[in-house]
Amino acid sequence: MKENLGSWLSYGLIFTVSILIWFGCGGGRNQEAKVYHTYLSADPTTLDPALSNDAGSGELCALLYDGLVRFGAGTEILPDIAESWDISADSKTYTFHLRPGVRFTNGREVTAWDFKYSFERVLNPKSKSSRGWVFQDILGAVAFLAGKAEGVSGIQVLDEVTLRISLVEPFAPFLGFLAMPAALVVPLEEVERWGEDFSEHPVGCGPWKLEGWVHDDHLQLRANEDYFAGSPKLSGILYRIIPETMTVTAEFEAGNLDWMSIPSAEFDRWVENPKWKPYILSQLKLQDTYIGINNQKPPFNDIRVRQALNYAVDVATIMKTIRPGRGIRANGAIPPGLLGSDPQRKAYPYDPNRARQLLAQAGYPDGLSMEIWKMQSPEVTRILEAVQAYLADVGIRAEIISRDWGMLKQAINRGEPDAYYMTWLADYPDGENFLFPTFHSVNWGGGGNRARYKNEQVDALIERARRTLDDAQREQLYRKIDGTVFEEAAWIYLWYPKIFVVHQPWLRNFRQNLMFNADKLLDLDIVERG
Amino acid sequence: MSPETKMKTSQETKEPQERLGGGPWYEAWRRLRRNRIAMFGLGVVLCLMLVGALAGLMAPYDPYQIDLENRLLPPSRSHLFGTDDFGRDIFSRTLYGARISLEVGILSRSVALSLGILLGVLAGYFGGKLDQLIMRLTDVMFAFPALLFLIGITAALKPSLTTLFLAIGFVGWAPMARLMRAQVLATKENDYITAARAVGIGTGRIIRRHLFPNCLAPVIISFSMGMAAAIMAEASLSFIGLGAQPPTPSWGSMISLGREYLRSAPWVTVYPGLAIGLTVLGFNLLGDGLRDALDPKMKV
Amino acid sequence: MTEYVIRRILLVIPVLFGVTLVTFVLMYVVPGDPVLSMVGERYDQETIESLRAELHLNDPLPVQYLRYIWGVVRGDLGRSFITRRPVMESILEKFPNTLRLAFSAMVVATLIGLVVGIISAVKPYSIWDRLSMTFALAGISVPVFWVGLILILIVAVQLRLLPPSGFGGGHIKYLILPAITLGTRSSAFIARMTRANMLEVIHEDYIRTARSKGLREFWVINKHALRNVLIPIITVLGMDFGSYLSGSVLTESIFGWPGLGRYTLLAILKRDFPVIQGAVLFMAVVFVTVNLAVDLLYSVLDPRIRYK
Repeated sequence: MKENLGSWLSYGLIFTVSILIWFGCGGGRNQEAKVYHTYLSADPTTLDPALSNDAGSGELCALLYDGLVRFGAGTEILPDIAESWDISADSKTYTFHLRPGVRFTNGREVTAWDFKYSFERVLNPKSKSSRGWVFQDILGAVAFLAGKAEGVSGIQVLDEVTLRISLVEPFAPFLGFLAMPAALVVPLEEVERWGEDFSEHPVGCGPWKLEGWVHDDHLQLRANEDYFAGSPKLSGILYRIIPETMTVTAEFEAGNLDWMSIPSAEFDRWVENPKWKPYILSQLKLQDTYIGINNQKPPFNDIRVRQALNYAVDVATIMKTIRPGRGIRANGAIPPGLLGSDPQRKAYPYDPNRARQLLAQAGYPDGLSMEIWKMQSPEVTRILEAVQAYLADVGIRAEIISRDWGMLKQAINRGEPDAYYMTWLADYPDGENFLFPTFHSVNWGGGGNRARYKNEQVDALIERARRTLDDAQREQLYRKIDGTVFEEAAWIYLWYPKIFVVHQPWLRNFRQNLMFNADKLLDLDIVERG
Repeated sequence: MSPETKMKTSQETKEPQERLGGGPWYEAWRRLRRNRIAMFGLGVVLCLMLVGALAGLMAPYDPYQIDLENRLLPPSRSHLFGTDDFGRDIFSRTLYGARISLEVGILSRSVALSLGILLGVLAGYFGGKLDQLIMRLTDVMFAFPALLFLIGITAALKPSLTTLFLAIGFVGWAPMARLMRAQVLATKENDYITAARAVGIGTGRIIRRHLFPNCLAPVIISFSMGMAAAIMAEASLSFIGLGAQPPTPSWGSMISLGREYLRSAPWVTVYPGLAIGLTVLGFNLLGDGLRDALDPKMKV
Repeated sequence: MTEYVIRRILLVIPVLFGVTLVTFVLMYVVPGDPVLSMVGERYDQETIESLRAELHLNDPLPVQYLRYIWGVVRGDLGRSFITRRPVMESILEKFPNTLRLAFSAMVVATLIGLVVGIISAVKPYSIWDRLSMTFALAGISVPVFWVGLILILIVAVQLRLLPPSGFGGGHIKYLILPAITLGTRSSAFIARMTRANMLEVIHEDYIRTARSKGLREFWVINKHALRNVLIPIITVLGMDFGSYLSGSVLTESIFGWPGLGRYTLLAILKRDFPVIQGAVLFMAVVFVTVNLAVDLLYSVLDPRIRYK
């Protein structure tokens, strides 16, 4: 009998321990009325603006920190901590006048010195930031980066509230650079206090403060009541980390999320539903979805082969079936809504016969074999599987190769893959963002020109456009450049994605913006949650 | 000692079996035939091989043919298992999937067994430092989380069917190596062998005539049981996206693509999963039966 | 006994050493630059170079390895390349979630396995027995990720009883489906073992004696037969527990469960070397510890097992 007791005890113990663990970890949902319930599909990589290089973390950084200027709902750039600015006649010098009395959430006032510190921090290798390029056009930045100077000579503090930035040469989109996450201002004392853990203890001067962060579960933000432009209408934001779209849908339907992005597999179910119709918003993203072609690697250095690839794929049908309504067919690199996009230009039509003809002319009457590289992602697999089938139709045997992000980039930088699937999201709303990095030959590889496109005429035009400050002239140049590259089929042009979101009826002033980091959620509001 | 090692110790002391011939093998086959469950397993396995070999003849549609107008059709008379998000016939793809699973299973098992036998024989035969090294290596292999190891290898190398069976084979050699080592040790210490050696019979001949016949049974059992595990591993990796690459109709990747349509088109997910279940079941049952039939002492 | 334990622990050290070495070699010999996964879509070569230098990636491999081992000895697993968070901190944060899932799966597996096994054994070769054993065979054969998806489909999508996935701040309703998914395989094993052992025991003499004394059948089964089932169950759980910790990769990623398996999987896909190193090492430590513990537990439960 005694033995029996012992064994039962040990069994009971396991059971009890598990039950305890079960309930010990239980937690309730925040039921406060004025808390916005939102979600992210992955834990943010960082909340340190210098390290932020993805849209997810950029969006959060914009809530916690402020910069000199910020993006509006569209392409406009609005004053933020800088009340106003003057641009010199030669367009090389920007003088910013800061709002006095703006405070970090630790109570200290923001000065021009903080901006100098924050910008130099991004350039400093010790910070391990990869966003140095944002400030590289500033005078003296290259010398500082190489360790040849103590500070960046082109960033001058004239007094506590005046900052002067001098550029090497005139650069039209520069103001947009200053609205990027890397240009947000951070307090030196907090960065030094926390070191590499600053991301866990972010201190900025934005409208929201980080209250709690349970990694891979949720983040809580609280309104900064001392925000210079007034406290946000809501008292808090609860970001839940929900990786699976099916769960997002379930939680939204249960009223536990205030909005969600409509999953492509359920597009019709939502868009056709009269109950939700009034609460659906859509927004075209400033993003290219494309398959880059290695323009230097035979046989793809032949324009005819590249054009054949474009004619061979029925992009319209792929969009209609796999991504119903969720994008606009690409007719160039610059997305609609940006200066330089050309509504007149026609996208490549689906014309398999033309594709076969072009291949034959180029010397490949029996087709050819190629590799298309991509990241690990089921969504991308789905798209490329369709592309693969269309290419097979004209005799192109495409093999799809999945690699992780690092390996994919390395291979592309070395020019190994014949083609690769990639997206390009705007960092700042200017056509230049879609031409200089992606097609200028100095940017081969990591700079963004992964297609290894090279056309000296285009190079010269891009350089001219960057220096041109007149919008109308710049637009002409942008259109010409984009048109030439499109004609030469540097990529297989797919589409500009459009996202559809649906929100709960109780949400007010819920908006979608052109730039991912434009929203500070100041006037978002909730009326009687259902 | 874990029961696993206990099992092997019992082998070490086992008398060498008779040479390959009519007697014991016929006896084993008789035992296997009497085991109805094992015969069911054998039937499933044979059917699968047939399906794998004749997929081209049996499939009503081309498994690669995309038909975007007929995507996500529910199961019907014309599409037994429905169609996937590219309008491809899931029934045809499932049939072709059998071929891929069997290929990966057989090749990876061959790799694992060759590696395991080679290292095990080396360790057992030469002993000493080499033995120590190889045995520590098997410990390391056991301590490694196997699936993560596989994911690591396939993610690092180019994901493809070749990478897949090499990786699965490479990860699975350790148990076989231990088993072979034990066999070699047992054979080496046997009086019979010592006598043979004293008479001047060469090493090669000893291995051929005494060691291999002794090991044949465990190798066959391990092959069949390992097939189930290898097929499961293939499915898991393809599910994660690191296995067979599109448009290869691997069951694992079919389930992975069906995941997003779980709500609107569950059939995309359901049928390939059933196919995996049936296959793995077949090999498990056959393996169990073979173990009982070939080696009554190993019965758990 | 003590000597045996010490010897076992000493044997573990070279194994763990081997695990770090194999992981290290595997990560560094394959092509691919980890720095490239840290940077965004636009960067310049100088940035890459300075990042490589900052992270000591230009040092010779043996130096890098020794530096890593020196860190491990001091309990420092380094920082993630991507998030810059200390790896140890993240592991200690994820591990309780994995443990919680693993324990729940064990409970589910034991409950289902015992019930199914007992049903089978009480009336062997009946229709219930056949049904139960079919369930057990199926449970061993179907892939865990498929079980998860089917459960989501039926319970969460069709019946809307439970959330389809997620962690939900630790609420119990988020735990049930992943626990059942992860426990399915073990429950099938346990069911088969329970049945086999109980059938064996039921024929033994002392059960007959107990029955003749007039005890109710229920108690006969419980007290005598179950005792015999305990050791095989612990064996199954012990063996599976190790695989729960790493093998929960699939379950955790299907259910978006923030545990160690999913954490490691994401790190592998992002080539986050310090995280992969640290997590694999941690799992190996847990694995060998659990094995040791299970072996010791045997000796407590079954005095017939002796150690040299």
